[in-house]
Amino acid sequence: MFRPRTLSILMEELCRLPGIGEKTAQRLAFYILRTPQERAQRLAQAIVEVKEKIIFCSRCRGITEADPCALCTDASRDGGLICVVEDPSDVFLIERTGVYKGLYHVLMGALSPLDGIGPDQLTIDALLARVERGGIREIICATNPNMEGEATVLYLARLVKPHGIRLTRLAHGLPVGGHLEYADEITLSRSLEGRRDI
Amino acid sequence: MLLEKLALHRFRSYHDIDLVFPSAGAYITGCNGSGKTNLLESIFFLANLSSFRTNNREELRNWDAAQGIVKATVADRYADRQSELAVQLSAGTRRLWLNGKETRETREFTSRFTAVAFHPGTLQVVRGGPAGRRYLIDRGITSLHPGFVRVSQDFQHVLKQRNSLLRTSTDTGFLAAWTERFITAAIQLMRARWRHAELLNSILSAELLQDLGSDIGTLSLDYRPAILAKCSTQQYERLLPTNGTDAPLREHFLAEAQRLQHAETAMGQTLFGPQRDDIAINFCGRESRGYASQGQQRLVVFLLVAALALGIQRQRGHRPVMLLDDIVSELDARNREIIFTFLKTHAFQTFITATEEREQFDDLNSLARFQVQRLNDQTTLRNDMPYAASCTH
Ligand SMILES: Nc1ncnc2c1ncn2[C@@H]1O[C@H](COP(=O)(O)OP(=O)(O)O)[C@@H](O)[C@H]1O
Ligand SMILES: [Mg+2]
Ligand SMILES: [Zn+2]
Repeated sequence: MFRPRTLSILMEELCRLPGIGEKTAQRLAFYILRTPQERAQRLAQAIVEVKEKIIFCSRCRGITEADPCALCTDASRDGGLICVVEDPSDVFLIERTGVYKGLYHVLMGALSPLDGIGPDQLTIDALLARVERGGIREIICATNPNMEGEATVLYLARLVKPHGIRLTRLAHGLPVGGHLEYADEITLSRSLEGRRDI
Repeated sequence: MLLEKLALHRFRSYHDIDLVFPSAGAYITGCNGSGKTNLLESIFFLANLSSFRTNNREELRNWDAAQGIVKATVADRYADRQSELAVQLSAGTRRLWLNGKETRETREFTSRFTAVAFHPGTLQVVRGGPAGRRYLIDRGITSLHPGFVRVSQDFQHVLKQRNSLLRTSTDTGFLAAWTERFITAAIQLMRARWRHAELLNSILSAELLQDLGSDIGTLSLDYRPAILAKCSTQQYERLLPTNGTDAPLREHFLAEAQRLQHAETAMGQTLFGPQRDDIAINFCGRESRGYASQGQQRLVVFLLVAALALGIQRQRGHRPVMLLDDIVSELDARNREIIFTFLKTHAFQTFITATEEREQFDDLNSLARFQVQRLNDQTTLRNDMPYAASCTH
């Protein structure tokens, strides 16, 4: 089938996005084609800017435009509490529940030998550095409720426990084997409140 | 549970068939290669979403078709509920429909219909290595507790992760974390196998073998966890996690992990755990591995399938459909008698295949009779007995 080269390129790029197959890519591409020039421009600009301006916070490794991020510098938050998550997007999931008032630490994944992800590929050293600086009472592990997330918690337990810090895990009720993003806000806030010690 | 209607579209050698079955079941005859096993396989697949003879779902779709469909009306008399189930198979995907609505809830789907199968391919399990027996037991547990699929998948996954870790890293903390997770998954799997062996043994000894006549002899499963292979009987009793705490077993696992650490790193492989278990089948006071005759193997596998059917009835509160593929060949009159006695006593809806019409099935004359034929490379079925159709109302 004949298709202008530029359109094909756009479709191919859209196709690389998660959850987008060929049909959806085609629909999106034609939608963009019909859209007014300035709106298409804004979309393109937004994509370029997000890549240029967003950086990782040097303290929590979450995403931010200014370093350190707004969460890390917010004096009203409890600096004695760190919630450990796998992915920067998990921070927003937990923030949305509105029940958590501590700080975060983003691991950038979970221990998965099959994917070649060991402790060195994660931000575990940075977490330990924060622990050693002192002032932390509790670390809440909010890694995904699957094998890799659980093995990561067991690994952290060995490193953190000797510092006399309380280590907790989100309560049951989260979708087993899945990801945090599949949990709704109510389930997530409940499992934060009912967390258990490891 | 009853299979009331079955429609196949491009499943294996079937192009389009539409069948109605009476509550007794059906007796299906036809030449070799005509499509008898394919028919039972479609029923088994509907219940278990897996086949009893292949792990490759792609084989189930007709070779020349992009899409295969198994569709059925099933009834649960106890729950007074009728459900329409449909599975659609196309390259790389499997989609499910429950009562006309597409669903992703595999467990809800498989809870509507249960089937157990005797398949000649399973016979080698009795005489062969432990892998086949583990597979047979684990599949049985899944029929009893659909949630076991998760336990088994978790275990396989954590085992793969740990093996990969042993090949790629020497970080002991990293290994210790995965070892702990491995032990948790291993104990869950072992506990399920223990309970299953206990259940089947209690059914075999207290119910099944007595009902069928004392001259059958004894049949029991002896679950042998590899991790406890070198334990004395006393130690063994103490380590069983069946009575509450699994702390002693965890400790034992950790000690094994410690002892084997060098060997494991050298080989890049997990050297302990339930992936090495065996479940011995003891028939008439002897382990049947290596010695059971063809006929004895058939009888043993049939009795295990029958015990599973009774176990499902006892624990899940409904009666599974029995699929007996090619069961009567190579059986002497006495063993055949045992099987028919079971079928008559318990009256599960039963689907039996055989290569030829045999008069002994007159005993089971409430079965609908179908003749399978191969024409122009597709399989067709002829309903042999006019009264069978009238039984369905
Ligand atoms: N995916 C498939 N598509 C078409 N035909 C198939 C497929 N799989 C198997 N067959 C055919 O089915 C036949 C086997 O049918 P089967 O049910 O095993 O026979 P039997 O009546 O001996 O039990 C084979 O001869 C093969 O030609
Ligand atoms: Mg066959
Ligand atoms: Zn930060």
